[in-house]
Amino acid sequence: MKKPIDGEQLEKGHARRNSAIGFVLGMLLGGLVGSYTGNYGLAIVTGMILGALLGYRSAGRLNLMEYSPRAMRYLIVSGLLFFSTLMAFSYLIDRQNGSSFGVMAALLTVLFAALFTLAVGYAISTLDDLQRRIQVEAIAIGFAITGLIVLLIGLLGLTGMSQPDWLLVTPIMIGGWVIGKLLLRLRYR
Amino acid sequence: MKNKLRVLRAEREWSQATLAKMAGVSRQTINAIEREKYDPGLPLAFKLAQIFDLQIEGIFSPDSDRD
Repeated sequence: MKKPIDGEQLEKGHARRNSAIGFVLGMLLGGLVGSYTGNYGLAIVTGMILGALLGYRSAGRLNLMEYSPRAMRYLIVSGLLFFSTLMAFSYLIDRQNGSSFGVMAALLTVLFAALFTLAVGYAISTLDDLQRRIQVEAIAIGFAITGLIVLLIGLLGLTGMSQPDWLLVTPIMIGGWVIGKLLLRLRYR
Repeated sequence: MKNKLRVLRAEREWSQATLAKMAGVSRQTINAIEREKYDPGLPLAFKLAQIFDLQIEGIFSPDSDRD
């Protein structure tokens, strides 16, 4: 009986290499964006994650999550709109002193964030049963991680420690989701 | 559940990606089924049986069965 040729090992090697390249490039690009916005941490972390994911995808390996082409378009467009608005808001808000611009810019940013959230929901709905299950379980893990971290921060605040920026909650949630997906990937490997 | 998916696929020299495309699911799903980490739903089980021209029982069996 002949062994089926999947090209799995070749794909894995390319995926690892491209992920590493994407990780570094994303970090550099994030640093560049951070130099304009002043928020280095968020920009660099976002760049690293996106760079690694894009590198993985570029290796020609099938997506871990195989979204439909339409879902990918929605994700990319809404993601770019949200990210651009967020960066622009961070850059411009320091130059506005309590004017109505700040409120309108915040609402616009949240609007695009809502569109991105809807795009994510639509993308998940296009997945097959197993991948949809993985995403939902990953969201649950992310929810738990976020809850624990926020609880910790709140309790530490009661002890007198300074409270971090509330904006950190969103990247914590996304990070928890990513951790959940990585853990579940090990289970279904 | 146990299954003979890997054997059946190998007999036809299909890759996981090829079978996944035929079944309309991700390669990850085929891999998870073969590794018995995931039991497919009825529609997918019937689809796989149709692809291999077998009954569902010809591909899948409960864990208590031993070959």
